[in-house]
Parts: sequence; C-alpha cells; structure tokens
Amino acid sequence: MKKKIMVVDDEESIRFLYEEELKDEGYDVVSYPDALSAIDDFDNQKPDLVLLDIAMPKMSGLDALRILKEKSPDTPIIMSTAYSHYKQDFSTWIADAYIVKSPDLTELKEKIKELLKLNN
Amino acid sequence: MDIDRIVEEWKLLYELGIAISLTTDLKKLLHVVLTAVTIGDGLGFNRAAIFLYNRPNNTMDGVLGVAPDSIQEATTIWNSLRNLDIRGRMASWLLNEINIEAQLNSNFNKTISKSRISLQKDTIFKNINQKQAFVFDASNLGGDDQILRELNFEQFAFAPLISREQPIGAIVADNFYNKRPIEQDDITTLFLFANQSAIAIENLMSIETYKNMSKRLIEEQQNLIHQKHIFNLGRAVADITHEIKNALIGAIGFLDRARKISADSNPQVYQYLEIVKKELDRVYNLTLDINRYAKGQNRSVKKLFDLEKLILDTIEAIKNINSSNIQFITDLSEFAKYLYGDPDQIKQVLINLIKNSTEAIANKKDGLIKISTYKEDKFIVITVEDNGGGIDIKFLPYVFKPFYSTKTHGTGLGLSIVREIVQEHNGVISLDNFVGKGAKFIIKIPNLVEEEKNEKKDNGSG
Repeated sequence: MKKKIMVVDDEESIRFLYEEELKDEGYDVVSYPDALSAIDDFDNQKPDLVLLDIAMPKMSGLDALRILKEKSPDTPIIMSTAYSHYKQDFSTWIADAYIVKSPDLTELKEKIKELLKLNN
Repeated sequence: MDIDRIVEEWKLLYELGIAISLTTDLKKLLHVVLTAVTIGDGLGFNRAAIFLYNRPNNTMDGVLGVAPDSIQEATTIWNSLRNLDIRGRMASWLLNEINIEAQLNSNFNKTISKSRISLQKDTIFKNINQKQAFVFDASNLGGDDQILRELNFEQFAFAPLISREQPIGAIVADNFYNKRPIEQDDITTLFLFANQSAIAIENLMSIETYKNMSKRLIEEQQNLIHQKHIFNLGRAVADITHEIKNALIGAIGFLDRARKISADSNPQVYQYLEIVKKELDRVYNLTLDINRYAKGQNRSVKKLFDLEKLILDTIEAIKNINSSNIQFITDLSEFAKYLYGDPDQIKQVLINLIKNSTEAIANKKDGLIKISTYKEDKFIVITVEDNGGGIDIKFLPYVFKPFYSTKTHGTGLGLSIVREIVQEHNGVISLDNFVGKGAKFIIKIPNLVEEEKNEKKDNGSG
C-alpha cells in the first residue's frame, strides 16, 4: 500500500514539482493551493504525512499546523518555507520537521522517509 | 600714570575694541588679538600666545602664537610698521592687513599650537581663575610648563581670558627680542584688553558651537531619511528576492528533471540544460546571499565551539571543491582553540574570506592562503591572508560596502556579510593591505569565555 502525502503550497510550480518528485519516490500525492481546502479534504484523504508551506494567503501554514495537529496528532507534518527564520518561532515547534525550500529535494525526501518509518 | 598716558591707553583700547568687535571669524579673531598684543603701536610685546581652556579634557590647549622667528625678522617687521604709521587707523589695519599665512608658518606658532597642558598638573595656567594679570618669571613656571621653558620664556605677562565670570583661556606674552622689562602699566593694559578679547572670543565660539550643532542636526536628519530609504529598499529587496527564489525553486527543480530525462536520450539537450542550470544556480545563489545579508542582524545561536576544528574542516571542504593548487597554511594558537559565537556564522565568515582570497590568487602559480588564530588581550583574533597582490587602493573605501564588487561574477555581498556577522559578535574586522603583495583580514572577537571565567573568579574571591 502506497503512502499518501498531502502537499499544501500556494506556488503552482513548486506544488507540481513536489508531486512529480514524490510520485517518482513511490508515494501517492494529493496537493492543495491553500490551507483551507487541504483541511477540508483532510478527513477524506487521511494522508500519512503533510508537507505544509508557511507563507500562504488566506490561512498561514502556522495556523493550519495547529488545526491539523488537533485533528490528527499522529500524522507527521513537515513545515517548509523559503527562509529559516521561522525555526525560532514557537508555533513551528509542534511540527515534526522543518525544511528550508530548495530546488534540491534530497533533504526533503530523506525527512519524509525518516518520519514515515518512525510512524510505522 | 599721567593723564595723557591714560587717554592714550583708552584710545588704544577703543581702537582695538573696534577691530575685535568687527571680526566675525574665530580663527581670524585670534590673529587680530595677538597682533594687537605684539605690534609696537598696540601693546608692544615681542611675542604672544593664546591658550584656550578645554573643559572636557581640563587642559589648556595652545591655539596660536604670534612672534617673529628671529631678531632680524623682528627688526624688519618693526621698521616696516614704523614707516606705515598705523596710529589712528589701527582697526582697519588689523582687520585687513594681517599676514595670517606668515603668522601660522612661524616656528613659534608651530610649537604653541601643538601644546596641551593639563590643569591637573603643576602649571602656571592654574592662574586662569584669578581675575588679574601677572608678571611671571622662569622661576614661577611649573613642572608641566615645559613648552614655555622650551620657548625661553623668562620674564613674561600672563593674562587670563575671562568671559561672564568664567575662564576661557589665557594670553601669555613676553619681550624676548628687545628684553624690555614688563611694567605694571603693560600688565594693566593687557588685562583690560584680554577681557575685551575674551568676550569676543567666547561669542564667536558660541556661534561656532551653534553652527556646528545645527549642522549636526541637519546631518542627522539627512541620515535618518537615508536610513529610512535604506530600510524601505531593504524590504523591497527582500520581497523581490523571495519571489525570485520561489520562482527559481520551481524552475531549477523541473530543469533537473528534464536534465535527467535527457541525459540518456539526447546528449545535446542535456548539455544545453546543463548550461541553463549553471546560470540559474548563479541567480539562485545570489538570492541566498542577499537573504543572508538581509538577516545579518538576526538572532544568532551562540555557544562555545571548537574554532580550530571549524577552521580545519572548512579548509578541507574548500580544498575538496577547489581543485586548484592553492596552498593553505595554518598557524592556530592553542590559546585560541575555543570561541564563543555562532559556529555557522563564523564558518560563513571563513568561507567568504577564503573565497575572496582564492579569487585574488586565482591567476598565481604559488598562491598561498594563511589562516592564523591567536589570543590578544580580551580578544580571539582570526586572520586570513593571501599573496594575491592586495587590493587596489582605489577600491579600499568600498571593501565592506554591500553590492560593490570588482569581480565579474561577484554579488558584492561576501565581505558585507562578513562584517555583519563580525559586528553581530561585537567584534571588529580590519584589513592590512600590502599593495603588490597581499591582503590580510583581521577579525577580533571578544573572548567571552575568558571574561566569564574571570567574573567567576572575582565572585569566588569576593
């Protein structure tokens, strides 16, 4: 059974890049352009892991993080952002991992593998 | 004192008073005052000097001395003045015909104007608080009046400059050349004239202070406006960089995918994409640089870390990337093995400086980079030097300025980031530049570990 990853990012190209790269890694990928639609669809999809952008219009990734963790505390969430300064922000501490966005997805893929293994 | 002489004296003081009150420039006023003290038709002394009271330092600072440099020169000047006959037109003569250049160039002035006498020490200048003028001789000179001794002051007049009850300086005058004894009358006239001068000097000093203050205010205001511009510019740059970076993540990400696909099927496309990637990577690295610069002041995570290991690791890493035959030398002191700071940031400093040196010696066969550490007082010092010919003098003022680069491919941020980080560590960075030989960057970072230890020791014993 393939693991399902929920990708939330407002940048269309980045979202598509994640989809393609993660499918290549053998995951099922569902992606959303904003946090609200992702939260709405969460129970329906029951993803094994969520990859969440921080800076997004409508609802920020930090708010979405709190809501998703209340819904499903055991689903690992990786926060992703262009810059590392959110690392010091308290509200990111409940996330399971934190990565700085980069065209090189090696670190992200390793983090995903690690968290999914932990959760088994 | 007979009545005629008193009238003469008042006429003289009146004339001099007009000259003084018509002078609007402080420096010129000092010349007018001392010329009046030294010309025969004025107070008639041979040599005179003004010292001004420097309140913050509690010193008397020599500001001007007027005197001929030799008896020949003195005689020439006196003769020429005698022929001029300036009585009755003293004020206009003083205002228009003093040879300021010549006065400034005299040896007497050169000695006087670099003298500074501390009022905390043994000196005749302590008499500036007295409301009278004196005749002193060499035996009155204090231990710290060396300057007057050097200038052979024997019998001399001393008049404090007092304005609104406050001493602002003193005039010292003597008859070094013609040895005419100083009389009580001379002293009285000098005292009255000194008082007149003092008020004028203080007024002009106040005006000057006021001018400086308003100039500083204007400068500060412009500074603030400038800072606000920079701040807004900084935010705009950060926003734009963010957009560019995000766009590039998508672009480079897919480029990589396309590259992988073409690797086997179409080597030519692969080669072209390789070039596109190289160029896009350059832009991407630029966004990282800008970002790093913009958050230079951000909280850093400081801790005690092994500086020696960090340096050796960094050199190793750079050697691996840079295959050229650059030779690295290290001279790392065991007393500078540990540093309290943000290791990531310090590593960035090293990388940027080494990168800088690497580029400086890129075209040399015997390129050498030397990295040293040592302890100096309360600082840990790190130096990075190369034999790349140094930095062209005309670029020196811009070395640490952001976005200034002499390189074709530089972002101009490398050294600005270095400076930001060093400042973040309360340290200082300086540059020893040996044109034609090489450049040496010197970073001093406070050795907080040492201080902490000392504090603990102090607490322990106390």
